[in-house]
Amino acid sequence: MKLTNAIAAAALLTLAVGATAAEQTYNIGGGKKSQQIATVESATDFETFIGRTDSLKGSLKFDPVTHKASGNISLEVKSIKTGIELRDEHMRSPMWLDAEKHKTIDFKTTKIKHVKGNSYKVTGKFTLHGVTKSITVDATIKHLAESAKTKGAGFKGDVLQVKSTFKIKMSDYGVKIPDMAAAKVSDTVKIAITAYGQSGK
Amino acid sequence: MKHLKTLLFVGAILSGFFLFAAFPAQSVFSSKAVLAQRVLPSEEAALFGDAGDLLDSEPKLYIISDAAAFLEEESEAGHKLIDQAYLEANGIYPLQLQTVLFTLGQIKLGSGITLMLMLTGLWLVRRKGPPLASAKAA
Repeated sequence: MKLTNAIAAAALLTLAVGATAAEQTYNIGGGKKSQQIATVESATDFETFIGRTDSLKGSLKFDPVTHKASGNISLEVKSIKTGIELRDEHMRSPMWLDAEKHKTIDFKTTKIKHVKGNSYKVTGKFTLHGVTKSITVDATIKHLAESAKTKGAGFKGDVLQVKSTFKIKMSDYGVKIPDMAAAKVSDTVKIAITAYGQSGK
Repeated sequence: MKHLKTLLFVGAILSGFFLFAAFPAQSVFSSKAVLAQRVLPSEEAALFGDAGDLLDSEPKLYIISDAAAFLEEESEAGHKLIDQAYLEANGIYPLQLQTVLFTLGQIKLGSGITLMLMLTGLWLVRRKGPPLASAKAA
């Protein structure tokens, strides 16, 4: 009798896990603008300034039980704002990011490895200024099942929060900082992404 | 020659003023700086237990006189948080101490060099002065 109960419990548990283990696709950029944020931080002796955008788009596939994940995120270069219009114009100009020619900055995952808890090592193809390089970054991925709270925050379906911060060298991507701006803009910049994805449409 | 002397003297006084004024200015700005991180409060971040989405990767020394710009919550590391939405709504530029110190450093360097040049100029003019005067008298 005990054995039968144990088998039944195990079967129920398997069914329950199976029910929640399904991989879902989470759309980024479909909801409120404030649900996404990406920053580019440049640090020099003169100033540390931040370029910011909420124009992130993409999709992520994620399974909260098996921790399998994949996806892509992109942002529009011309949507990055630093708080000073003249600086934004310089950044978008052909001398820098050339927003007319290279309209987006993209990241497409090739491998995602679960480390522990919500931590992951994400490897992918990062494209900036038309140059694509393979990079590996640390990321946290948090999952919330659909609830009154998630609906209240404007989400449809389950919600995924993805955060990552990593450094890149602008010169590796063919962006040369003009000598006259070297004191104000660093070659190495820190990119931080906080993206929210929703499984509902 | 008299005009040149006056010009050099005024230049020396002004550069000396800027040079020495830069030191107390540095102390004043440093005393007003607060170690903090800018954050953009959002409902979405609150869902995941965050005060908001952090904009600064690390805390920085900011000079912001409006106390309402600071949030009651602190970062996980215990640093003050600055409400970026409040800054934007009120047109407050998040001035960093490092920018002020860099600018004051440039002022010190510039005024120090100018002071040296002015004093050297004055010394040269004074050194040349007496022979010219004695030549006129002769």
